[in-house]
Amino acid sequence: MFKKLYQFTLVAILLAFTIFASGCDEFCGGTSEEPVIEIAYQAGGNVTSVYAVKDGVELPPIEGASGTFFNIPVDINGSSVTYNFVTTQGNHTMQIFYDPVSELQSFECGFRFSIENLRLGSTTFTGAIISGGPNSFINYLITIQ
Amino acid sequence: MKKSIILIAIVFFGITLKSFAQDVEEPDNYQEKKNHFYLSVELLKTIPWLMIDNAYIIEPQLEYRSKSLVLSLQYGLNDIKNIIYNRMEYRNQGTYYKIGAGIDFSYFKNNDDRNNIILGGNLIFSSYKETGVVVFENPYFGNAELIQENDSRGIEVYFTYRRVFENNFFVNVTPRIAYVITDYDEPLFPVYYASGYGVVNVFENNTSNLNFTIGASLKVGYRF
Repeated sequence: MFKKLYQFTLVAILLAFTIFASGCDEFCGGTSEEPVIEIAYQAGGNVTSVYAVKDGVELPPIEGASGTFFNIPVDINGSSVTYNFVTTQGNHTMQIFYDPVSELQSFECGFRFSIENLRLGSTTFTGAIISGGPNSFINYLITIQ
Repeated sequence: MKKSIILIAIVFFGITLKSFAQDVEEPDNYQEKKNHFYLSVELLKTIPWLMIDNAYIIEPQLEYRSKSLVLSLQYGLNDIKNIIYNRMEYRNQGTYYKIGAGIDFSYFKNNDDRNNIILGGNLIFSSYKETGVVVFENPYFGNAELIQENDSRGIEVYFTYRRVFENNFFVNVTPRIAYVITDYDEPLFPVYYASGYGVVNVFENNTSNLNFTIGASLKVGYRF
């Protein structure tokens, strides 16, 4: 009788520990992360690097931003960013405008950041199309043609 | 700076306790009570926050007792920090005034005016800025900074027991209830700490907070 009670208690403690000690990050989904937009580069050749210009200062190249399909981060403390694209076909710039959104999820998960109302500003690309966004099931996607 | 403030507070508190030990017996005969000024500083809120780097609440208070009426003016200055909402580095910088009046019930009793019992209320005018820095993992542009500002008006009701020692140093113990009358302006997150009132979101709720706080203060000071 006592042995079963002991085993049951032990299992309950281990189960509770597993649930609580594992943290909640895996259930929160995308909280406390810098928002990104997706880039599909279809203008010929490849992108070799992308870097942003903030307050007139060139930031380092964005990690992983190369090839023909990649993500670029968005500055949540501002409402516009200018990116410089270095491609095998030459250099280009693209400016975007947006409204930053912060949403407090919960005590455990903290904040989730996103953007709304993404617009294109000045760009040296001949064609760029925005799709996706908060009203669809996918992130914002800019297709460069 | 921080060490010197702690040292001054400890010395001040030590002198007060020393005088407590040397206190003499009170005469039973009634004495005509004089009007006094009372100058004090808060310890209960100040000392714990000083233990946290660069965080403080400083709350000097000036009281004037004319017969049984007690008039008080308090100025507060705070810069506190905390980690809330899973990785948000919270900071509250604010100032506040408390202006109020109370009745010293011990005035009506036959004693030597060293034990005061005061029931009173204050109007609270506070202005504060809350900054929340959400720390990202490997940010490209930097962490998110959320800033919101508030002006809160409210009231508080307090009960004070004051013990005045031989050398006119005194200790105040004051439980109190405060209520924020004005609405919070909280577009980014519920107000966590309202200057002059205290923590209004104790459980870090993500949708709401409280308008009232319950607290206590321990003050040491000098009677003029």
